[in-house]
Amino acid sequence: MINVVILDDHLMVLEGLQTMLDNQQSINVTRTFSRGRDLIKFLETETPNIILLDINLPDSNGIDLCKTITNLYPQINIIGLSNFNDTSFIKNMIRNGAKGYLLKNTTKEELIKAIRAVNHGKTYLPTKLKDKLLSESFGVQSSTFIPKLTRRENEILTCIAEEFTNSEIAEKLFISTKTVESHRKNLLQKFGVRNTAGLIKEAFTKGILN
Amino acid sequence: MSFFKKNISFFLILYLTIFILKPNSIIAQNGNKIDSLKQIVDNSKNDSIVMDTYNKLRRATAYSNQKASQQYTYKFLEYAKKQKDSFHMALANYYLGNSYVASGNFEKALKYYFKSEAYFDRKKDSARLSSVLNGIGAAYENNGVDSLSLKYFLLSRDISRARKDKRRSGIASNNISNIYKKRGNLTAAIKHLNDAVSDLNNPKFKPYFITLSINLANAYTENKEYPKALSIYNEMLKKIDTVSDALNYASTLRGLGNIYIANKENRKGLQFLKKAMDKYANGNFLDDRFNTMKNLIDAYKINNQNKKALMLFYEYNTIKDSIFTAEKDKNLTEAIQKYETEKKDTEITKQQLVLKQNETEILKRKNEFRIALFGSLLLLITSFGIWLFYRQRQKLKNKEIETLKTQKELNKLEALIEGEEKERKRIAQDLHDGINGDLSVIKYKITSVNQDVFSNNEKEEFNQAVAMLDNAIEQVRHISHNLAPPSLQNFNLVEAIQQYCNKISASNTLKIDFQNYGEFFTLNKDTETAIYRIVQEAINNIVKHSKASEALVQINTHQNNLLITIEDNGIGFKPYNNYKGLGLKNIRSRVELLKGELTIESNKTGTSIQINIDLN
Repeated sequence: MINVVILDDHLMVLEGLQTMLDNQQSINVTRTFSRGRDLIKFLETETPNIILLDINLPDSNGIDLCKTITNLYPQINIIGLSNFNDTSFIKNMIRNGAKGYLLKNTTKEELIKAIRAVNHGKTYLPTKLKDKLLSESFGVQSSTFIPKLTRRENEILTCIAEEFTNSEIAEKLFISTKTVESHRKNLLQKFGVRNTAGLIKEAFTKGILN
Repeated sequence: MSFFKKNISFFLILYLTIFILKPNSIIAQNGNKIDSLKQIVDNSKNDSIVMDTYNKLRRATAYSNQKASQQYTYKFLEYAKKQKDSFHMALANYYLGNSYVASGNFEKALKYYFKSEAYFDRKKDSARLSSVLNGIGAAYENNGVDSLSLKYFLLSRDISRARKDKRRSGIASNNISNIYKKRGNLTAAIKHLNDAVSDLNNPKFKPYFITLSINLANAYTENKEYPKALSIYNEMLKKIDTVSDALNYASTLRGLGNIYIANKENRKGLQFLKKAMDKYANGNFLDDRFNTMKNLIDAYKINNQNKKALMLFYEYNTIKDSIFTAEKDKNLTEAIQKYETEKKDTEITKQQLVLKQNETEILKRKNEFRIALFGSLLLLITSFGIWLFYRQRQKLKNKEIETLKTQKELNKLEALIEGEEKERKRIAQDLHDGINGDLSVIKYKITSVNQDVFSNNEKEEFNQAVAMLDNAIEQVRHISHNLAPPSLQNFNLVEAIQQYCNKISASNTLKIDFQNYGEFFTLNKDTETAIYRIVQEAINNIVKHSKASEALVQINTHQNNLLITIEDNGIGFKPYNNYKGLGLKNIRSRVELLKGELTIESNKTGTSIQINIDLN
């Protein structure tokens, strides 16, 4: 039997979820809560297998709560259940120990699937969200990554290569030296180098300067 | 007769008084000498030389120009004072006394004489003291104070006698004699005149001796002591140089004539008197001739030559009339002159007064003009200053008003935006938690329905309804997230922009590259929202207008300087033409609210928007 506890401030949601899971074998909704602190108090005495955790809560934040609970009771598996589909929420929930993440308009089948998967020590994400996370991860840098430079950065890089000083660049481009310095630092970060010499070398290597 | 006698004695006194100290200084001066002396005065820087020279000038002009002489004497006194030379000061005072006696100002004469007297008395310089006393006597006499006059003459005589200074004692005795004569004490007059003559009986004082001897003889005659008179006259005839001393000679002849008449030797008397008259006439001593004329008339009458007497009397009267007329004229002329002089003086004084008044007036006017000029200049400067001050203040005020206006507008805008954001957040919340929650519950309920009893058609309808429900939920979520980005509320700006870029990239042909470099920063939610809105607006513009395929959103933070760059490879726009487009206007006002700096560069190859915000 999988003991499930639900935390959601929306009573109708609570009721709906409970109804969905009622007829399921081996899944038992032991308690529902609409406030975070009631749940925490409950966890002091009881240890459910799964917690369905909303993010938007009147007295607390699901993301923080997730961390607190997993730290205190690592054996409890948490599935985030929210209307937020931003990857930031998903990533943060997962980072804070959640084993799964569902949108609130999930289907009964997916909900049960997720509960069972998570209860077995697996993770669960709906396909849609998985895809979303993946597509964002494609943007991550690699050593062969050619940094995309802004026009201003291109101008400044050219000027640096032509041995202009910061103040000379500032004068030429009608900007402050502080801004030039800022751009220069960005360039170093973008190319992952430590100094101007490295910057010029990388820029040549990557064919940005020629 | 007494009128003329008085006249004579007066002249004699003057004569004797003025030249007592230096009788030999009666010298004819010439202009050359005076001029050379003046030159010395002008050129010399030695005060004692100048003083001496003034004394010489005084002496040189004593006869020719009494007034000038007096002025030189004053100068002489001035230089003596300057050198604190009291001897010469006393001397100068004495000379001044003499000059005032000569000009008839006896009061002043006495004043100077007394000053001089005090000095010589103190110094026991009896010779000069005697002279000064004599001068004082003369001044008193002419002032009509005979008793004092007599007293000083006597003093002068006694001092000179004690010193055996015969000349001075003689002169003093003569003056004493004159006083007595005036008083009618002929005996005393004769006695003192005798003293004088005996004192002056010395070849050195011959001119004095002769004059006084004749005076004595005249006095004897008057006193009817004819033998005494006769002997003196005869003695004089021997002593007088008949050519050079015509006056005394004529006087002697006249005296002898009168005695002969008195002694009834009429013819001899007439002879002498006629001769005297001729001599007087030759020497041009008309007064004496006139006096003699009366003696002669008397003689003619005694001689019974009545016709001659009558003729002469006629002549006498004519002369007398003319003399009186002349005297009268002289007096009148003097009076007129005096009056004229006074008038002139008054006029001069008046003119001087007027001149002075004019001068004062001119000075006053000048001053007034200056004051007016200065005043107006000051006024002008002050007015200009005040004008400048007010203009500057007005400018500042205007600027302040402008700033206030801008500030007010910004505040208004801020309030508007704040209200808008609040409202958006509220609606988003309602949509997200309320409606979307409800919709989810509806979905749960529907999907809880036993689908086994559904026909295939019903099943399809059911699935469609569920899908539509999901779609609705998705839309509500989308609207809600657009209204209030949940990532911004729950996380941070960078996360929210990242999410937004992801979302746009996922749902559009535009691929947005989001980059974030620099230090981690946190801002208050309002600022983050504002920045988020700026980025959102810029991306919306790109999506709507640029036809770009790629965009770059970059957030850099260095030293609390936030630099946001949004670039695309679209068709660009003319930033200044479309500057007032709603999207850009919103961006601009929001940047302004954040006190940031907005730079827009756009050309055919794309647009670059840079926003620089100082986080301090």
